[in-house]
Formats: sequence, C-alpha cells, structure tokens
Amino acid sequence: MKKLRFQRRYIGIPYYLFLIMFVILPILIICVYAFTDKDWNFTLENFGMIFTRAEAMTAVVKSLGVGLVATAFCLLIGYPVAYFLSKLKGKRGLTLMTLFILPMWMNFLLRTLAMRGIFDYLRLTPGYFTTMFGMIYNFLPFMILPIYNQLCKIDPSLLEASKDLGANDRRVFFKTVIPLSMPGVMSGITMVFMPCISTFVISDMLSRNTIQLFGNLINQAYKMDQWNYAASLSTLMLVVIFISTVVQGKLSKGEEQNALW
Amino acid sequence: MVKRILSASYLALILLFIYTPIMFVMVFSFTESGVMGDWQGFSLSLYQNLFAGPKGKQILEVFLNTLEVGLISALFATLLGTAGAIGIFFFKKKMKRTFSFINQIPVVNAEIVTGISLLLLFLVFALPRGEVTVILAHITFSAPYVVLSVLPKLKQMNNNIYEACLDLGATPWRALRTVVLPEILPGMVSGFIMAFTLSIDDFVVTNYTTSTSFDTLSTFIYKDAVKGGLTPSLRALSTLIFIVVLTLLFVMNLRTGKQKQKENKR
Repeated sequence: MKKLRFQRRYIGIPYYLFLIMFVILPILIICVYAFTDKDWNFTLENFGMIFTRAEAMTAVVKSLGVGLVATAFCLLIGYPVAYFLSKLKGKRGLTLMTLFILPMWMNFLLRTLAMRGIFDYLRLTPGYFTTMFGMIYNFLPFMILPIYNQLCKIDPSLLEASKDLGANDRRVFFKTVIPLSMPGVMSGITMVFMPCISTFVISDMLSRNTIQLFGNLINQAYKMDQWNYAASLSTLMLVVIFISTVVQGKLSKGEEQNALW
Repeated sequence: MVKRILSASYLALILLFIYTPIMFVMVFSFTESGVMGDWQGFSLSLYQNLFAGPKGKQILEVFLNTLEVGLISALFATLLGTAGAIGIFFFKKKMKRTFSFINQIPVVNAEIVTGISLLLLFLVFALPRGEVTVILAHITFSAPYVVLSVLPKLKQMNNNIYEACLDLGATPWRALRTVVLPEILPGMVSGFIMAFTLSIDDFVVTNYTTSTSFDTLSTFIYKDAVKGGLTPSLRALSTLIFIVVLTLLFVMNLRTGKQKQKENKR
C-alpha cells in the first residue's frame, strides 16, 4: 500500500471544512427554507408572496433604481479622486489615500447617525435625497480604492507611447487611461452596488422608515419570525448578486481583451 | 499649475464632505445636549460619564465585547485563512478553481444574506445564539480576506527555496515553518488587521447572529438609535476611538517612511 505522504495542500483541510460548514451549508439551508413551509413541505408560496405583493415588488424595483443612481454618483465623484490621487508622487498619494479610508474606522452606524444629525440640523426632509446621500457617503471609499489601485498599476510608458504617437492629454486620458482602468471601475461598481441594494440601516435611519428597500423587506420578515419568507427573499437577492457578478466578470474580461489589442 | 490647483481643491472638497459628519460628532462630544446640533456650552461631562456614569459601565462592557469578538475572530480567521491559502495555492487546477470560487462567496455576498443564512444554520443545529455564534459568523466573513491577502505573498515566493529545504533534509513541517512562514508573514499581518477591522465595524451579520443579551458596539448603538436618540456618551467614545486610530495610523506611516529611507540609504 502506498504510504500517505504529507502534501502541502492538506494543510488547508481545516479551512475547506470550515467553508463547507459555514458557507456552502448555510446557502443550501436558505434554499431549502425558501422552498418549504413551516412543516417542511415543498411550496412555492414564499416566492408567490414576493411576486404578488405590490409592496414587495416595488421595494425590489426601488432598490435597484436607488442602487444604480447612488453607484453612478459614486463613480462620478470617485473616479476623479482616484485619478488625482494616483497622479501624486511618492508617499503623498498613499498618505492622502489613507485619509480617504480612515473614516471607515469610525463605526458605520455612528457615521450614519451623525449624518442624520446634520440633516435634522439643516431641516432636510427625510426621503430619497437623504437616503442616497447617505449611501454615497458611506460607500464612496469602496469606489475610490479599486480604481486607485488599478490606476497605479498602469505602466507610465504606455501613456508616453500614446503621447509619442501624437495624442493630446485629453485623448490620452480617454483612449488610454480610462480603458486601462476599467477592471478597477468594474470592481468598484460591484463593491458599491451590492451594499446599496442590500442595506436596510441607511434607509431605516436616513429616510426615517419612509422608504422600503429590498434589505428592509428581509429585515422585517426576520423581525416577524417569517423565516421561510426571509429565506425566499434572500434567495432572490442571491440571484441578483450572482447575475451582477457574472455580468461584471464578463464585462471586465471583455475589457482585458480590448486592452490587449 | 491651474490643473494642479483644481485637482488639489477637488480632493480637499471631497475630504471635507467625508469628514464633516465625523467633525460633527467630535464637536458635539464636548457639550451636554441630548441631541447633536444643539450646542449648550462647552462641557466635558460626556467624557466623565463614559468612565464613571451608570450608562458608562454598560458602554465599557459593550466596548470590551467588541474588542474580544474582534481579536478572537481575527486570530482564528488568520490561522484558518493562512492554512487555506497555502492549501489553495498548492492545489491542482480544478480544485484550485473550486475553492477559490467558494472563498469568494462571503466576499461578494450581501451582508444581510450572509447574516440570514448563518442565522438559519444556527437555528437548524439548535445552537443558542450569543458570543460564540457571533465569533463564528465573524470568522466566516473575514477569513476569506485573509486568504486573499496571503495568496499574493505565496505567488511572490520562490518555490525552489522550499524544495531546496526539503533536499537538505528538513521535514515538510520544518520547511513550512522556517521558509514559507516568514515569506507570507506580512500577508498574514495585513489579513489580521483587515479581519479585525471588518469585525469591529460589522453590524448586519452580528445583528442576526446574536442574542438580546450579548451586544457589540454596533448592535448597542442600533438599539439605542431605534429607541429614540443616541446615548450622548457614545459621541465621546467614538471621538476617543477615532483619535486613537488616527494616531496609530500616523505612527505606522512614520515608521514605514523611516524604514524606506533606511533601505534607500543602503
């Protein structure tokens, strides 16, 4: 019999088991809950509840809309920040980058409550504006960081090459810098869009419960102990996340091919 | 020149946007008023309450809970994640892809789905919710980040050194300890810091995996906010935390700067 030799990949066994136990199994359990009723009988009623209740459907659609708008603003605000930071020489860029990340060390809820305090102080009516403002505020660093990293990776000789070939600054930016930074932009978009569509804290606190988003639906189902309904909503969210991840992967792969040519 | 001024002022403007709420909390930690935005004269009483008042004791306990959960979960996440990274790195193609994919799930997944899925897991196994379940949940969402920060270090490593070590008669364990470990240590450290940060800032997953009797700072603040207002002393606490973190980062920045200068001199 062959002796079982030590192999380096065996070292990972505890972690593989951990992943199966705490990542794979819980997702399977969610799916089982989503398709069963309280007595573990198969049913599609949980999903029926989502698609027939106007309240649930509007919340899902609203989340997607609010998420898209907030992500677009994060990109518009964040891209120039990442670009200017990547232009700074030496340690200055890194130090300033740290300043942009630093607020994340303050508790997320406290920051959101502070924001609410400011809105109250300015007498802004809680609603879409305040909610989206809160999202942009909270998730902006997630957009800046990946774009910054990607921009720093760009080989400066490529920019020089396109200048040598006669492009002016503007053309260099649109034809070379932006296409090369696309992978960073794509991961920034997912990193902002995901939390935007799933958050319930920001909409709770900044719209004062006037706006119901996808996350709020799940949280309410949880609060009312409707495990099966919560599970079916979570399954739907998993599907949305899966689709957007696949789309993102496809898009950034396409970009890589373009960059090669 | 004009371009430089424009870009500098843009960065300054965004920084102002990011820091306004934090400054707001800091400024109003020095007044006694019940809500932020209502200045009632300078006072240090919130800081006194934090260390002496009745609410202060509770806040301190919650703060220690947060640190405890953060340190324990980050420690386990680092151990598990490092082992996992080594395993994944030496896997053959198919298994490598499978486990890299599974590792990616908690990273991409929405916090609320992770939270609900773990909650259902604990329900199915009839595990009472509390500190232990919170720590398990935190390891779940932070270990993948450790894997992601250790893997690049393994890729940078020269694989021949390990082989040479074995050829010179070292046992695989010894080779791992003396050759591989030092190479990946920086990745482990940044993974640990990342895991700790994620843990102390988490609210959503903790909310679903804890019981009513075990609070971290986040769940405590949330309950407080739902009840009505934020306990004023928390403003003082967050100001202190923020200043401590700021100083730490500043010192770390200075140190790496000095190290780089030394290296340059060599």
